[in-house]
Amino acid sequence: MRIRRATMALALLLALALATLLSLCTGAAKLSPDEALQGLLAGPPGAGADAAAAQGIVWNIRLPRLLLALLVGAGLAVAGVVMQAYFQNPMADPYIVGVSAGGALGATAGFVIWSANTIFGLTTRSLFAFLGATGVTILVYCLARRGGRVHTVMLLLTGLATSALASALSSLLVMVAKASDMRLVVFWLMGSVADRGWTAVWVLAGPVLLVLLVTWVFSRELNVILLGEEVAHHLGVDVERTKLILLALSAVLAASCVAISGMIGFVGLIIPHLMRLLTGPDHRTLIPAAALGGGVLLAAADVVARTAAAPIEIPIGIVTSILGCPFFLFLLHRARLVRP
Amino acid sequence: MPAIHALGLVCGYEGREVIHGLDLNAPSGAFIGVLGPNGSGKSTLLRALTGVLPLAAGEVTLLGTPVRRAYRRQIARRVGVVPQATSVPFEFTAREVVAMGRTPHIARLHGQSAHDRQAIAAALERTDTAHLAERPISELSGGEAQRIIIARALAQEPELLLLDEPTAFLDLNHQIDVFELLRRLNRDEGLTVLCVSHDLNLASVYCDRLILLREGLVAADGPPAEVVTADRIRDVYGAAVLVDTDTPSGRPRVTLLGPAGAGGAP
Repeated sequence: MRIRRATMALALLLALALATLLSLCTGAAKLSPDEALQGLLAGPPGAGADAAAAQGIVWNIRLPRLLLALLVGAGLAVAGVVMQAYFQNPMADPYIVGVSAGGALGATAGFVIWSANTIFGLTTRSLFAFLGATGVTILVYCLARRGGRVHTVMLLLTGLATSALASALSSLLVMVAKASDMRLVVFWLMGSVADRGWTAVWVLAGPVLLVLLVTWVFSRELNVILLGEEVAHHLGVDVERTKLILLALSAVLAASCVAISGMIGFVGLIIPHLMRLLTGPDHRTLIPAAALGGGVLLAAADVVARTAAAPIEIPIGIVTSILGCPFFLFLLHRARLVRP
Repeated sequence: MPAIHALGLVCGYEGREVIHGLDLNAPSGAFIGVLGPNGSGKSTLLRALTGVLPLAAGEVTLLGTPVRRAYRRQIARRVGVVPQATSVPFEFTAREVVAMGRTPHIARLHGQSAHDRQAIAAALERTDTAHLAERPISELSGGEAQRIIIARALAQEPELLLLDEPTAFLDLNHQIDVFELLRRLNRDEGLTVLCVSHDLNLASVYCDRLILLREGLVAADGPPAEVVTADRIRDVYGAAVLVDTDTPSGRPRVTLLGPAGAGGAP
């Protein structure tokens, strides 16, 4: 069931337009599509403008939130695509080498130790989460290294073990935290793209767009690595170097997403699968498709997160997991991704 | 210029040396079979020749180019390798898999040229797989998939083709098909072929020269009739065999009699 590239691009762009409109219109104050578009086209409001007007709502609250959802969704989906190629396993996800457990440990430490401060407009917990996620990934990589080479299975198992340790440490930190901190930690870990503001958008745009571009440039290598590392070697690919570059890029990408928006599951697992099912495994098409698909999915999930139980916001990570899990199981049964 | 020039190869895996100082020279146009019991170092030799396995000592030159990291792409443009059968967990079509053979020829961010497409079509044609091109590789039978893997190596437009047990897991008719194809490529197009095999009879019939390995060293090297003798097979494999002459090919034919102690007569 492969869909032609042009049809796929058109469908994804249409979905993006729809998700954009939906995201700008829905929320505490309902806007008609007309109002939302006029607010958007009016440009950023000046300092003295009425914050309650459509223009203010769109530019100060909903647009940064939408863009952040698109960036995080694209980032997680592309990191998932790269990890699945790296491990030559369709079950790999962006968090596999310890990014999530390390991010959680860092974030928890940030909450418990320096909860309120900000650095460069970002909360310390974001910085701590980023450091935790990249730190644990580097640790896992170094521990998995034997004789100058990193064996994939070794990396996978080292990632599992180290993640378990990091999770235990963050549980320990949560235990000794104040009750009020504990609630914040738990809520943050469940993931959200709300109230991050424009700073988060600008900070995340850099890594997401850069890694997207670089991984796309490496499409052919990624394709060949899917056939096996020895095959890639015989086809002239410098496998060790390519894999190191790709692992580093996708780990930084996943860590950035986790640092800004907490733990959002399933996007990095489902979107690569779904897009591969629709467009085939060729990364030249798969990477842009996954980026768009992941962005649209997270933007839509965010609309659900803020409307399903309004005025209470459900953490977006819960939405993606509740919607994602059954869908993933459906895909598994339908597509025979795992052969007996 | 020799197609393969290997001198004093020493290599192996963590804490276990498999090849202990092996020399190998192959002129262009040769059709060589590498034989030997399990663990004698056949596959390890192939991995050493292609630079997959780092050498502890010695050096390898393929078509005059040293096998080093810096020349990997350059070598991939002239040397095709068919590794032991592996499954692909992703749904590439047969044509996509064959097209990947063009990887070393296509510059980054470039698409396929007319010549690339022609090489892919020719590779599918020569392996008789053009009718399978649009099918997912995972749906093909073992024999079909193996021909696609060979087609991928041919799409590289190699001057030298190295194969590791290309007929393992194949039915009798497909085993013959693969060796017939290799012979055609060798005779008609001058492709140099080195093929690791566990099948003494097939290798004897099709290869012009056999290299018999024992415990990481060359036990015998020469035309099939000189290499495949009852005494030597008993020595190297530890099995009693009867060797006579295969009627159509005039090559040696091995019949298994039993363990090394068994009698020499049927």
